[in-house]
Amino acid sequence: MPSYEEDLSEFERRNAQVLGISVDQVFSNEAWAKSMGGLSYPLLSDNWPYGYVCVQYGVLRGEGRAERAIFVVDQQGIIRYIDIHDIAEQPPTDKIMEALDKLR
Amino acid sequence: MAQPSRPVWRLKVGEEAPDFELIATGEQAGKGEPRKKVRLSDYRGKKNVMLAFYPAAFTPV
Repeated sequence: MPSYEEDLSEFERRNAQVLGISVDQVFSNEAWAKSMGGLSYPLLSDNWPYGYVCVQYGVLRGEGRAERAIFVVDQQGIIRYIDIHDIAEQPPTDKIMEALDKLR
Repeated sequence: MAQPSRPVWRLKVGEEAPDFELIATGEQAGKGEPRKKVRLSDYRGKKNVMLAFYPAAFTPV
């Protein structure tokens, strides 16, 4: 997640809002973001009902955590890019930017 | 029977993104802003959205 902070101007240039989502509670996300010096985008808590949004997006893992996954949604609410990534790796930002470039 | 590590349900490119409303940190997480609700459809007609799901807070990646 911190790497998106570095690319924030690139997201803004493409009129894209970054939303981080996990099953953590708000206070955990808040503390984590604070430990990184704060983030320029919100972190959303899919915590009640637990994992409900993750299930709808097909990214709730067996152990109850979210996959590391990217969904790019256009201004009409249509999914334009999906990357359900290796959980131990950062999804490639250049591919996300490419997907956003196609929307303009 | 072993539990599958990956769910079977999958969305596809070109489908409508399921709408949701979730409680969130402020617009800028970790900067002491009050909590707020964020609804995906609030961005419709205004902004593209990159949803970044992640396994847990305090994970290194």
